[in-house]
Amino acid sequence: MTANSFELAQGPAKPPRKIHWGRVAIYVVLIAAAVFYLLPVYLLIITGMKSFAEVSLARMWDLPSGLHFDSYIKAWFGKESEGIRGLSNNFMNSVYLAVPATLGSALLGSMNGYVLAKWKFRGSDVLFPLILFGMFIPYQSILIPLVQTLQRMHLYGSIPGLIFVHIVYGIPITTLIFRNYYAGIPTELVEASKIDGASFLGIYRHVLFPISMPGFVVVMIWQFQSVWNDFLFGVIVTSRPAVQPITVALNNMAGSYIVEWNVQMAGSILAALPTLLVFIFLGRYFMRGLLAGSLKG
Amino acid sequence: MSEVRLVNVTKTFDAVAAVRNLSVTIRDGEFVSLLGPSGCGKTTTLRMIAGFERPDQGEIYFGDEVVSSGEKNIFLPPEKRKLGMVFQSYAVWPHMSVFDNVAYPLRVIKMNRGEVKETVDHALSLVKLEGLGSRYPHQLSGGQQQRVALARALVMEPEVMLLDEPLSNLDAKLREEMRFEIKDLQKRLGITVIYVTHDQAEAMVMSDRTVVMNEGLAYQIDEPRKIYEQPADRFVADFIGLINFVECEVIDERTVLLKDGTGVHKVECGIGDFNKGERAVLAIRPENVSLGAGPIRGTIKRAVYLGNVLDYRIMMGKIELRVQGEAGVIYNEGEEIDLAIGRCLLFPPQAC
Repeated sequence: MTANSFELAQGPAKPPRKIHWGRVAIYVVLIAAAVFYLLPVYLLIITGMKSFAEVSLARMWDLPSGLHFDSYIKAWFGKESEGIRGLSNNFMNSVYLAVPATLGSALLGSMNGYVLAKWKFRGSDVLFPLILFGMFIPYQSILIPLVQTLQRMHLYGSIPGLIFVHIVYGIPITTLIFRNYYAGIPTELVEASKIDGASFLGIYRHVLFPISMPGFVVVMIWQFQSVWNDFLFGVIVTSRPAVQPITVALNNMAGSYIVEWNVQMAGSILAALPTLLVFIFLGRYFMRGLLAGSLKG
Repeated sequence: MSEVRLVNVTKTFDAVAAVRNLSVTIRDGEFVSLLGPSGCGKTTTLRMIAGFERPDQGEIYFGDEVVSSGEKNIFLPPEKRKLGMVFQSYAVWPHMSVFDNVAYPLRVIKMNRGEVKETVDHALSLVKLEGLGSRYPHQLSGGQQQRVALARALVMEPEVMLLDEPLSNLDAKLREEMRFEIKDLQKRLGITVIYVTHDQAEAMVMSDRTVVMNEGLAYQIDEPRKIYEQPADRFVADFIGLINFVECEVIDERTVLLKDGTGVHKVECGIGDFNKGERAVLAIRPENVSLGAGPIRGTIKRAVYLGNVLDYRIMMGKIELRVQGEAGVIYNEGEEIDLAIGRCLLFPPQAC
């Protein structure tokens, strides 16, 4: 082995590594920010592991004495002797609420988007901003007419009523996302089937719907988390504990005199789990879909 | 029945006239190209024939039936016009197999299963895609996708087929092949074809007649040969093929005078409607200049070997001429030669 090849194998001598202070500063800031934002999550997790006796303001930052899941069990199944209702029933209520509400508003949004992007009609340029305006109406401002409307429809106080509210409130955002998604799909695809005699709904069902999956993923993640996490509509529309979604039930779990923080925290984690999982597993599709829509819209 | 007639058709988008007063009759079984630079209104014309746009004024007839009328507010939607259409972007549905793509129009009219299979297989064999029915569009090349689009347009056996720059996304070699294939198909099936293109060679090869369009107007509607040899005006002459324009002055019934900055030359040319003493523009195709002998002296400025011909730029005084000569005799750059101007045309002078 010659000296030359030896050198080649080693590679050129590296200059002493320079420390980029700018980069270091960025990381310091990022890590500090991450720690700051994760602190509540840390509290949530460790408090959920503690026993009621361990929970105190003085020792709130301390780690639990061990891995105890009693609080989770209590939060999930409840304890009648102490008057704590478990969340299991309400968790399922939330599922029965969020799944149909998500599917319903996604489907409606997709059809709206189809019409607004591919069947421009007189006034569609006025209608679209009007629909979007719905996004900016604060929930609080419509509560009284909402309750009255639901009462007339005999849906007040029930999960179907809540599903209805969320579907309607979801229409603006789902319409926006789908309109932009469909705007990026060549109109020739639609025209080619128009010339073959496909009907308005036929084109949607056979041509556009099958290639709408990226749009549906984005819309469904968005809708699922906003319906699941909603508290205000839940507390207004449902008054009976048996039909309340988990967010409302979690709030009601806190007793009037004492709050069992460990159970409360465990319940919070249980309540947050579905949206967390959805985001972990589908989050990357979400980002991708959002970008695809926005770039071409 | 399958004659397509446009009468004084006008279409305006936001105060910009896309098509102006276009009248053309496309005969049964004819292959007609709409040719022009981008933005000339050719695609808008096709889309009006298809029924995707409504003309503001004028009428479109299929046979004796009015399908669009701006004034009378008659409008037959695309699906009732019994057309086949091929789009520039192929518009093949990505989630359907080749078979399903082609079968789609048949399923819309609820044809029974056995017949669908037979009809689709026949259409696929017409475009030479036998055996590829189960593939998906993303597994096909661009040319194959375009064939799928063709088969889909043909499967209903339309009498009129519209093609919107169908070959412009293909590579040069394939484009050349497909020209002949589409032409063959048209002849074999005897259908009327209206073909939009910006590629003059495509229009030349395939069309029975070509409509040369610019800025919404039809400049000339003629057979390819006439368009090349007797262009109606300077735009058409310039757009189709190569041509030299040289300013000149008419001196008598068959002669014009050409000033090249250093001397004057007499060139024989039919003067048509021009009067003696009038200024005009002489238009000369590169192949109509003969090299080696003649009354005019020029210097070769550049010579490019193109295989079948040699492409010269020749300085005639201060005028540069583009000339194509046989590849048999090669003149070198800088060489002085004699030349003669053969067939040529006269156009009125233009401010430009």
